[in-house]
Amino acid sequence: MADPLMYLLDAVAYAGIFGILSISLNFEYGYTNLANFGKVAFFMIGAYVTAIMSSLKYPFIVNSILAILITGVIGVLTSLPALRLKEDFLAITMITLGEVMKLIIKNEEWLAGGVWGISGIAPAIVIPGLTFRERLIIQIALIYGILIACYFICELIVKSPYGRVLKTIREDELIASTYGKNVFKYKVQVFAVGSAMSGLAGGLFAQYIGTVNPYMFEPTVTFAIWMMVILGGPANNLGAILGAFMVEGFQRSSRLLKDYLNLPLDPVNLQVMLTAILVITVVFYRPQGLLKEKIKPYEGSLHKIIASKFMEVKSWIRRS
Amino acid sequence: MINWLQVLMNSIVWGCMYMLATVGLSLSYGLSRFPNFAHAEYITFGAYMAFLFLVVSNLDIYLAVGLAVVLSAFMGGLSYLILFKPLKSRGASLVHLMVSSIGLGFLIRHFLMQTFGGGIQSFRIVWPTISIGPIVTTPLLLAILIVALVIAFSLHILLTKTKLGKAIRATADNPELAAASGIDLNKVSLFTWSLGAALAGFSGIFLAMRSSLVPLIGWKVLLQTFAITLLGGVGSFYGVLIASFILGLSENVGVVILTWLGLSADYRSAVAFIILVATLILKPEGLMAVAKRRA
Amino acid sequence: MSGKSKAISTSIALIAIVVIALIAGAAGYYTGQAAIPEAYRKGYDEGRQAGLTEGRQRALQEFSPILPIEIKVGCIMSLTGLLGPMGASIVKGVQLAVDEVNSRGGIAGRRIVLIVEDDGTDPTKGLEALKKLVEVDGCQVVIGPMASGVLRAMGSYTNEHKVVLISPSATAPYITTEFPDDYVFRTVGSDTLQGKALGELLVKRGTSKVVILVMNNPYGVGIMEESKKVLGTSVIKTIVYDYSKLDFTTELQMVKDLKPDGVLYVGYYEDGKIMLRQALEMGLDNILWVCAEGIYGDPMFEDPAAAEFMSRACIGTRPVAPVGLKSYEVFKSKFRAKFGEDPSMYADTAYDATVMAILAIAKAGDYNGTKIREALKDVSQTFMGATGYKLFDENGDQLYQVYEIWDVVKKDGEYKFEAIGYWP
Repeated sequence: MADPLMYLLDAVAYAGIFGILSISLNFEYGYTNLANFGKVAFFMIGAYVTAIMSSLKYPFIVNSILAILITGVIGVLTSLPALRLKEDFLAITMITLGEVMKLIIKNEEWLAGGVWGISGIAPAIVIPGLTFRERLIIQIALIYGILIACYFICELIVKSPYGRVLKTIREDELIASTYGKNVFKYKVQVFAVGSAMSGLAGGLFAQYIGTVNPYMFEPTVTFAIWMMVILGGPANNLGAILGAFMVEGFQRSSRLLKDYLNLPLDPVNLQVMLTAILVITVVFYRPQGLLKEKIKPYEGSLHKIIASKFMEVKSWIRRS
Repeated sequence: MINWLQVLMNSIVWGCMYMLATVGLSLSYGLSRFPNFAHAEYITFGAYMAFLFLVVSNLDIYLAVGLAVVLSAFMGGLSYLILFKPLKSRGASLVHLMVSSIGLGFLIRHFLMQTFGGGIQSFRIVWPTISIGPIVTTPLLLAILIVALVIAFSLHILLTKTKLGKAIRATADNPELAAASGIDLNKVSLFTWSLGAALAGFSGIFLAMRSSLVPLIGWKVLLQTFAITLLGGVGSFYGVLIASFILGLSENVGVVILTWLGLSADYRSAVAFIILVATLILKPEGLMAVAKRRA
Repeated sequence: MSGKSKAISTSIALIAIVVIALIAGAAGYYTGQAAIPEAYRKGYDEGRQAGLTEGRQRALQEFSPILPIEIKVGCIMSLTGLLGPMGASIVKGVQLAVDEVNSRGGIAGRRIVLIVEDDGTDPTKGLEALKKLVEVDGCQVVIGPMASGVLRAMGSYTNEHKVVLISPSATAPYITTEFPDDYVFRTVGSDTLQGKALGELLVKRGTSKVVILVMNNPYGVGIMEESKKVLGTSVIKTIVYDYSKLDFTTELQMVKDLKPDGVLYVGYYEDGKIMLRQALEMGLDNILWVCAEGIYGDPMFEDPAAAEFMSRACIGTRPVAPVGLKSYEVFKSKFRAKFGEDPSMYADTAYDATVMAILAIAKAGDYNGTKIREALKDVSQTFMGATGYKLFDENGDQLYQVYEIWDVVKKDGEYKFEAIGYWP
């Protein structure tokens, strides 16, 4: 019977999965300025790896480790040529690569079910005799456990000296390379970690909804993740999670509101248009996102900020 | 046996359509230095405006197309003035510009969907078939060829012979230098954006008349226009010219080869994308960038 | 971050949220009544002609059990996306059935409330819509979805939550094999049958060189696989095309160069219009085109070139009511009276699905998925709907399906579909 709480919890679970994606994009874009517009491809590969392995009756832990490894490796492979490009070229190349990967999955039936997709994916944790609510809560616990783990991993990385190098790369690659940092190597590593994280999110998604097919992984998913990060606040992981909640919330609320309000517009159109206006407004008036990056307040100009970053890097080099 | 002449003809027609659709994107990209994702929606917008005037209001076809193109130009100029110019003056980053152009694209598309509905519309014109030797064609395809030729030629004149065209090229090459030498950056940008959107709208009308009109019509060619832009070298008109035909050819020949190989013809877009990725790896500045710098 | 800037950022975030809420609030006004999307708002309240048979009317009134005051029946259809152009008319079929029952006093005085959700032809959205219907509105019966791919994503959720799902148009064969003995039903035959029907039609027409031209999705690939079993070696080429393209001239050129005497074509309206328009331009109208029901319907005639091509070259099959069925004519006239247009493809099966669901609710006497499922099986034993008998087999598949063989004729510049035969 009706259980609106379930719907709310379902939204929370979705927001959690997209929160992981949003954190992974934030790690790539917010901290290292890698404009990865091919997020959905890694999400898709993660989901498919988990789906295929699950149909071979492997447990979720094995599947997700494999998903992480494979997406990580594919991330490295794609990044080797792609990361030499500027961010706008990178963006277009990544969208394109995502589409190519989707085409392969869609057309090669022997590989991953082709147009039919794969269904009957077992949930990660199966405990017999539980109610739906309990099962959903277990799912949420799993998703949020991973989300929190991803959050802390990201926070640890970006607060470490390694993270400071990343931020320096973001601000000015030249400075980083002047200090003997192999910028390219750092970028590939970041890309691999980000991709692996999206692969993990894909695995969670596949086991959560129990079925995958190529029509779920359109470029609009990538755009949604970008909107989450831009809304929430690049270089702020809490902001990225907030963004995920907001975008997911918008989508759900337009579905709910239309039953109670006599909207003059079609609810889907209204929701998309409002989200677009919100994103443009945020970019206009608060480009740092709703939650700003937490940086120690620096005095003075950008030059000084960069100079003080210099010092940080320098002192770290001296220490290590 | 495959009628290769016909395949070539299809490729040329597609080359022309891609050219019209992409020139604006490439020029505005070169000028404003970011890829405008909303460019796809200028294509859609032009097509829907032509539909509005031609089918809904029953105007004369030339008048309707003219009005639609003017409105598209207006749309392009407006989006530059209202959104991108202020954003640029606020120092928005490349990614912010891209994301807001995606937002603008969604806004235009769903506005059109709200106004015209999400269904399939048709221009309700039957084109008679013309046979030239082994090639079968229609007046519309010939019109596309002629229009594309005329536009390509006038763009060539515009860019090389007129003051405005030289200003566009100079600005794309080096905005600071251009501004220092007294070029009104604002005026040049506004003109380029309007022109680009007008051509995109024009191509949208052709696309819709050739197939049918759906809200995703621009989105369906967006990635191809990006591929052409990068393939040709951002901001290079001649690059776009060449790359459009390469893409048209590769997609159409791709279908034949893929089906021969027993693969799905669905891979046809992949052919174009793989060419793009290969170019970017081997020659990131695009085909024509070197020539452009020398010129 | 300093305290001040944190306060500013928090307040800006709050203001942004409030502004959005205000815009959403200002955009609509509260009416307390379910909003109906624009596409089918027209004609919502027009005409209240009822046509439940006397027997069914009695069946609905006989039972006065512990039903809720408002019986919420869900409906998930594709109103946007690839199948969007077909969706609105199908929702009208559902709406017609619900209004008819309500105007006759509902189920023992209980009103039926129809809640329509759009899945955008996207499996993820479809599943979310189903969750919304079940969890927020408490629907135990959902009519839909249209696409097989979307239905597949919903299958396991439906079975776990014991909600009855009746699809009027998901024809992919795997729906049967994948969810045996389950809560998923469909009021249309599987593509296994239609693939066979199409294949046999081609054989009967004496074709010996057939090119199969199908869209790359479960619908196209499913029919392709089934019809190949019938056609065997007469298939000289199979072209699986990308339906999101705007141009198929090269695919068509290949068809032309292969010089077949028959083409088996499977597509939807959106790509079908383009394909057939360009086929006319390429002069492919001297070949026999045998098409599946995806392009059956008056929307195809909005494009005069496609219509002309269909009248010259196309025949096809579609699932229909058996020959000369009175109940279909009754349904058609009711549909016409209410919406001022002819029912399109699958509006009839959606109507039947809804009537069956309502009868099953009445028979079950309780708004409970498990009981409704059992009742639905009973109802299907004797049910005669607009599209004929709807007897379900143990998998919830329709046991019998008649396919009409249609042709397009041009009379005084008007195009019309006409039945020229039936299969089997």
